[in-house]
Amino acid sequence: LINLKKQSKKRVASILLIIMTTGILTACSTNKNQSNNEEAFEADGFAMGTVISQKVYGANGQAAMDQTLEKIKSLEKLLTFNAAEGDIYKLNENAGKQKVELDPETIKIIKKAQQVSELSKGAFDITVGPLVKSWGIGTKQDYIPSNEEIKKLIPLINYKDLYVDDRSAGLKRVGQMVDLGGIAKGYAGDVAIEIYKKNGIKSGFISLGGNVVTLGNKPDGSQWNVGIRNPRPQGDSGGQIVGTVSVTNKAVVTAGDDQRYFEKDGIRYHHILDPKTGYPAQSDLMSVTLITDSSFDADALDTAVFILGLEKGKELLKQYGGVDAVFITKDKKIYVTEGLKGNFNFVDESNTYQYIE
Amino acid sequence: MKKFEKILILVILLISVVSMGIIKFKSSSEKSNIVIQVDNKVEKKIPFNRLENKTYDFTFNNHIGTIEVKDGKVRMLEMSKDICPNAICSDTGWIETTFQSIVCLPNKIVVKIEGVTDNQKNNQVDIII
Repeated sequence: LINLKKQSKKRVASILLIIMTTGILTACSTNKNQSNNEEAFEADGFAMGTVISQKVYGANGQAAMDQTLEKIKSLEKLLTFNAAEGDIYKLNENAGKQKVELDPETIKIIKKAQQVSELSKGAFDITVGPLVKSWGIGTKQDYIPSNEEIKKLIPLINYKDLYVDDRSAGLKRVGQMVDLGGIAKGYAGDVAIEIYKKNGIKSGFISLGGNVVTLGNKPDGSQWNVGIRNPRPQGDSGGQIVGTVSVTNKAVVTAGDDQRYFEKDGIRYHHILDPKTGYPAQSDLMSVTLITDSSFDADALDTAVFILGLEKGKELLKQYGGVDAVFITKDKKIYVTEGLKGNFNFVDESNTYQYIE
Repeated sequence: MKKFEKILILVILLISVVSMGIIKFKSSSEKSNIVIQVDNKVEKKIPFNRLENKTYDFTFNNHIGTIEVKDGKVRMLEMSKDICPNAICSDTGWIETTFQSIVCLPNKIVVKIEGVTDNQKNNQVDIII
């Protein structure tokens, strides 16, 4: 009987040994591919009139993404001028009448917008609302307002008529409207990263319509590679790029005439309206991509830079400080700021661009 | 009993070798699925190893959409104007790598390719802006 027990122990031991060896072997080969055991989570939700793509690594990944999408949806309600319960709707409804008390987040965004308006001498201006509503690019079908209509609206656009203190804001004249389309997604991007951090996430990114914000590095320790879209893709393949930038803990934010537009009689009507002319901005740029610590800063700045054009835009960035940029001009040349030389990887599959180093 | 042991050992070894093989194979194949999502939920998944050059239908909000697959590439076919007025999704054209996607904003559709990022092409892009 003792002998039999011993034998069966031996058997169990040998079988265990084999199972363990197997385990070690498979563990080795999986490690090679993942290099990190952190689980990856991905989601593509919809809010703020765009697709919100998230990819995060870590145990709380799903919760972090869910909380983020919820938060962005609540920001949308607060900030869009169409939501009757929202701050911006209230502010616009009371234009020329009284100031209204606003959520601290709304105040924060308006203050940042006013700062960039001042700095860009009104190239960026959130009181562009009446023009945005009139054109309705992305909502109306190929609509071009008449010259007379635009002439009537232009005098309403002036950030100096928007006053803001620590709790409230107001518009001086009836008919004036604030539109945060050029800055709200940037703010949301920074908020998302804060939510990731609170959930213990160390690696991930969020992409919201022209705003990519990265957290940390990839789980394997390498930097995130963000592809910069070709604003004039050739042929019928989608998602063409002109180059990449490698980033850690940075926001990469693009303003371009290819993001939302329609064409009529050979003219491209895009969504970035010049507050001075009332028409889609006609600078020498097709797109500008800013790389900096905060997508909030970058989103406001990139609209201004796009409207100002290459030279004046560069000056604005110099004044602001700490922002790198990739400029793509209408004559298909690509310029980058000093800080980006060596980090911008020119990969133009269309063979139609020239990189000016 | 001894025979049983030998068989058991053989079976375990076989499982280990096969599973290692599967893991190896998985890592070398870069693209795994074409995924069609409607409002953040997976509507259809087509594995690359069973991909045929043909069109595939999917449903969304009581409508039917169609993607076309050709030589490992995928594109959205145009829908009627009242469902998809701007046709941005079908105008996107063909996508073929993991970092590209087709988005239909009005109908909340995302078509993308799942898999390990393609290292050879485009310097391992993670996301396009």
